[in-house]
Amino acid sequence: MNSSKVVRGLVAVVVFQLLVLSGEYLTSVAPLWFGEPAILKIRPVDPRSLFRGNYVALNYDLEEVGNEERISELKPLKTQDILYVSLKKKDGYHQAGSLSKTKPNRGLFIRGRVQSVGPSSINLKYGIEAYFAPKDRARDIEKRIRKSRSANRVPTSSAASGSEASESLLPYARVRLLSSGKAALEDLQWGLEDF
Amino acid sequence: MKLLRALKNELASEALTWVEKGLITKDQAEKILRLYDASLPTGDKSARGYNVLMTLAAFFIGLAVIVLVSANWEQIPRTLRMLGLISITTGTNLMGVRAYRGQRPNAGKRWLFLGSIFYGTSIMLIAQIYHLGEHFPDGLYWWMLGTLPLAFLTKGFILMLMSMLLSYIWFVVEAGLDFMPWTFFFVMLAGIYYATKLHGSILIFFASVFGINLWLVTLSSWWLGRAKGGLDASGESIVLSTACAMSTVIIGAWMERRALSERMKNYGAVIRLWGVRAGLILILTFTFETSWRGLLDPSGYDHPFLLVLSLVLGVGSFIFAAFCQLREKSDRETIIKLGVTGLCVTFWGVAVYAAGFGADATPGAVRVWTVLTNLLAVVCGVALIIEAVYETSTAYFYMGIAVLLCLALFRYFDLIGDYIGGAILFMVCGGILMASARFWKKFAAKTEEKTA
Repeated sequence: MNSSKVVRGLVAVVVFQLLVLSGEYLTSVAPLWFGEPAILKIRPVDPRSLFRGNYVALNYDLEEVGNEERISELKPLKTQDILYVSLKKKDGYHQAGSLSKTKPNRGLFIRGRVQSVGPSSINLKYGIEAYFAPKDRARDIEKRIRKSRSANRVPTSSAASGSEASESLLPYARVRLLSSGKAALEDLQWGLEDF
Repeated sequence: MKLLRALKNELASEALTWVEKGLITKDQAEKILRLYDASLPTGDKSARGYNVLMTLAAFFIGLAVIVLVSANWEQIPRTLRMLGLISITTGTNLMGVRAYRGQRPNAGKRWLFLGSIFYGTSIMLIAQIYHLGEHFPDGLYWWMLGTLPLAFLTKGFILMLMSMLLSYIWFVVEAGLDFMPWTFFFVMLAGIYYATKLHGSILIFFASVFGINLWLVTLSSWWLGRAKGGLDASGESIVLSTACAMSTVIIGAWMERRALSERMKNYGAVIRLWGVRAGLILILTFTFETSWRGLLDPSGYDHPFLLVLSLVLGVGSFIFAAFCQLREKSDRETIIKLGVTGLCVTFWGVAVYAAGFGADATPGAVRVWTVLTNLLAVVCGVALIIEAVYETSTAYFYMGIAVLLCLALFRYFDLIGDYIGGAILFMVCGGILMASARFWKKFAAKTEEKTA
C-alpha cells in the first residue's frame, strides 16, 4: 500500500472514531432532550468499575416485575429478551404497571432486558443502573442511602425530627423516557417534594 | 524448527558478530537467518531503545488520562469535559497522520497509539457523564473497532497488540454477561492475516489461534443455551475444547513440516510445542482422583451430539495426521512416535466415551481411571525424553523430566489407595522407566549396527 493510500485510510479511521463518539453522545443525550420525565424508587449498592471509575449501582423497585399468571402468558421468555413495563404514578413516584412484549400504544413505559425468569417474577435491567460520581461522593451517597433505609424502618415519629428528617428521605432516580421506552438517568434526588 | 522466537534475536546478534569477525559473509549470515525467519539486526540500537521508551511513555500518559477521567471531575461542565477529550483524541490522531505524511512512521505509530488510548477514554467518559449502564462491553467493542484498522494500515505491532487485548477483554466480559461474542472470530482471523501477511509475530498468531478455539467452545455453549437464552457451559464444552486443541496441534505439526514459508513453519512449531505442554498439563490434572470424579459424574452430560462431534474431531484429526505421516515416512521411529500419540488419543477417546455414555462413577472405576492416567503420564514422560535425545530438543527433554518429577511429587503427597497402593504405583512406574531404558539401549544399539 503506498503512502498516500495509508494516509487516506488513517484519516478515514479518525473520522470513523469521531462518528462513534458522536453517535454515543447523541444516543446518550436524546432521552434527556426529548424524553418524558419519570421518577423511580431505587435500592443502591456501591461498586467500582475497572474501566469506568466509581459509581453507585442502582437497583430499582421496578427490577422485579410480573406475577405467576403474567409470566406464563409471556412465555417463552429468554434472557436478554426485551419487555416493556408501563409506568403508573402512585404515592408520588412511578411504579410498574402492566408488562408486555410489544410496545404499548399509549402512556408512559420503560424498556427493559430480561436478566432471569423466576416462578413468580422477572428480573429486568433498564440500562440506568449506574450513577457515576467521584469516589468520596459515591461513598457519601451510599452512606446516606443506608441511613435513610434504617431510619425508615423505625416508626416515623421517632425518625423524622429536625436534621434527621432530611437524612431519612428516601432516594429516587430522576429519569427521562423516549417514546421507544429507552431510559436515561438524569440525576438522583432525596424525597419527592421537588418533583 | 526448534529455535523459537525468544532466541531469534540472540541468533541474529551472534550472526552479526560472526560477520564482523570474518567467519562468514553477510550474505551467508542472511541465508542462515532466513531459515529461522530472522534477519541481521539493522539500524541504530539507540533508535530502537528510543522507540520502545517513547511508546511506553505514550502508554503511561494514556493511563494518566484514564485515571483522571475516572476521578470524574464534577467542577468542569460535562459538555466541556466531553468536547475537551474528543478534541484531544482527534488532535493526537491527526498528529499521527501528519507524522505519516512526513515519512516518520515510528513517530506516527506512537501518536496513533496514544490517540487510540484517548479514543477509548472518550468512549468511557461519555458513558460516565451520562450514567450509561446499558451493556458496557459495547464500549470496549467500539474501542477495538476503532483501533484495529490503524494496526492494519500502519502494520504497527503495539496497535495490533492493543486491538487483540481489547478484543479479548470484550470477549470475556461479553461472554460473562451471557452474550455470544459473534464477531470475535473475525477479529481473530484478522490477527492471523496480520501475523502471516503484514508483520510476523508469534504472539499475535498464537493469540489468534487460541482465540478461535475459545470462540468455538463458546459457540457450543451458546448452542446449548439457545433455548433459554444466554450461554450454557457444561461438561461437553470442556470435552470439545480438548478436541479443538488436539486438532489445532495437529494442524500446527502439519504446518511445521509442510508449510512453504519459514515463518509459517515457525508458527507451526510454536503451536505444536504449546499443544504438547497443554496436553501434559491435562494428563497431570487427571492423575488426581477428584478430577476423574468430576469427569465421570453422569449429571454433567445432556448433549451426546457434542460428545460425538468432539470424538470425531479429536480422533479423526489424529487418524488423518497419522495416515499422512505414514505415507511420508514409515520407519520405526515414526511408528513409535505415532504409537505414543495414538495411545494418548485413544485414552482420551475412551475416557470421553465412558464419561458421556453410561459412565461408571463408582469409587472403584474412578481409581482404575486414575491409575491408568498415572501410567500414561509415565509413558509420555519417557517418550518425550527419548524423542528429545533423538531430535536434540532441549524443550522436550525438560518437559519429559518435568512430567516425571511432577508425577512423583503429586503421588508422594496424594497417595492413591493409601500407602500400599502408593508404593505399588511407584514400583510400577519405576518398572516402566527401567524397561524403557533397556528397550532404548537395545534399539539404539541396533540402529548403530545398521548405520555401521
